[in-house]
Amino acid sequence: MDVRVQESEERFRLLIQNAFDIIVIFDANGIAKYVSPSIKNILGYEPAERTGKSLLINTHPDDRNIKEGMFTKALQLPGKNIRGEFRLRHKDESFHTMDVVCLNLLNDPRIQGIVFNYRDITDRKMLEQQKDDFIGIASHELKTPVSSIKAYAQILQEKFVEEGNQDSAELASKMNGQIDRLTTLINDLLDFTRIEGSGLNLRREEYDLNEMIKQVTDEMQRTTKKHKLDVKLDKYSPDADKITITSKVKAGNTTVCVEDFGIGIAKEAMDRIFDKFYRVHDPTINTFPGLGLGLYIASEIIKRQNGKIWATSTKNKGSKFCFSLPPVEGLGKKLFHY
Amino acid sequence: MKKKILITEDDPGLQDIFKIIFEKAGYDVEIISNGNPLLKNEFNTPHLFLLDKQLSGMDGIEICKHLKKQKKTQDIPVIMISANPSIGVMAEDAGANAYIEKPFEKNYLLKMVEEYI
Repeated sequence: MDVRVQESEERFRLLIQNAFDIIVIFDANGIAKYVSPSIKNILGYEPAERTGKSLLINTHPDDRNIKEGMFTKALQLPGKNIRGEFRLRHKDESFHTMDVVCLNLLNDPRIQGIVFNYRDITDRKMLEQQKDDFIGIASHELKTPVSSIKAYAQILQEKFVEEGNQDSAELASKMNGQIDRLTTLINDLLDFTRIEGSGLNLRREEYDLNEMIKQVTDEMQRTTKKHKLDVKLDKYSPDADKITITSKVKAGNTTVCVEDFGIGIAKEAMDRIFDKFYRVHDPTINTFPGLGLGLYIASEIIKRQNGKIWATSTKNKGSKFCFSLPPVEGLGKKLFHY
Repeated sequence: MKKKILITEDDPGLQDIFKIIFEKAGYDVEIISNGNPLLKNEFNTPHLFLLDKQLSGMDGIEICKHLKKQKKTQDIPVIMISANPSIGVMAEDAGANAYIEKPFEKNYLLKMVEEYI
């Protein structure tokens, strides 16, 4: 019996020692009781250098609240996996990004500690950053030839009108419409990488919201003759010709709503419309492709300003999209601008 | 007497387009492909500058700041143009009078030039 237990212990010790991830067991006060040998390969330290040390000793100063938060949450929720991401210092002074899961096993007599599992994802993060940078650069570069094409299309359209050639003018006009669609896709890509990457830079500035809404809708209106007010929504309300935009302030919160009278959204899809990449699939309706990024981008921008965004819809009747932003302390109606 | 626009743009396609658009609208157009003449003060004074942010080897924002510092050019309107969505903020910080994003609506650009020139 004893031999079997010993063999089993040996087996698991070998597994832990040879794991790629770092495993650390902390006591309830955040002192490391056990540090697995893989810390040598991953962060350059001998286990003895970290054993007996406290929770935050190697954590990047900007990320300490994350690790501390995970530890505190684990104390409150024994037996539950808590996940997070933060940077740890390598012995060579560089920082490595770790994907971390922790589990409170204080009440398990065999462990009596909080187990942290660290996975080094530094390389993966670097690749992701390179990919995002590339998408950003590519989107930017695409805009220059697209600008030329758009301008040529508009010059052509004008020439045809002057020559009295309405048919050709109409074709040129349609070309211009497609170029606008292309521009929207490129802009969505660009916005997407800015959100995913180093994050949007929010700039604190005072401005008149209603004036801004007017400017934006004027700009949009210039690109559609058919609809009164917003070309982006053209995709989903080709047959209904009115789009209503409202803004109001209530109890300090500013709410802006955009309502269309087009194809609407199915109830089952409503939970997911703000998800990254999500596009509603409905074979019975001729919906228009895009990148599935528009609402995701909008929700990220609003969320980062502590606002709320939501939508209501009735299939075949139309949809209403709203966002609200809280008041900024001491600034009355002023809002963040990005 | 025709009003003169000095355009700094390094993309040949857009150079061609600006020439067509502005000459048709009755302006005198001069196009240079990099900002050096502006920094060295070797140019014919126009009634308006149209400045692309991205020029080979230099940032149009720096050129705008330079123009706005020189007595000879500080009162001449500068319109910045860029594919960078942050151009609004950058142009404002550099002292530009206005900005326009690429791709642009031809008539919107013309109206803007008309307003500032």
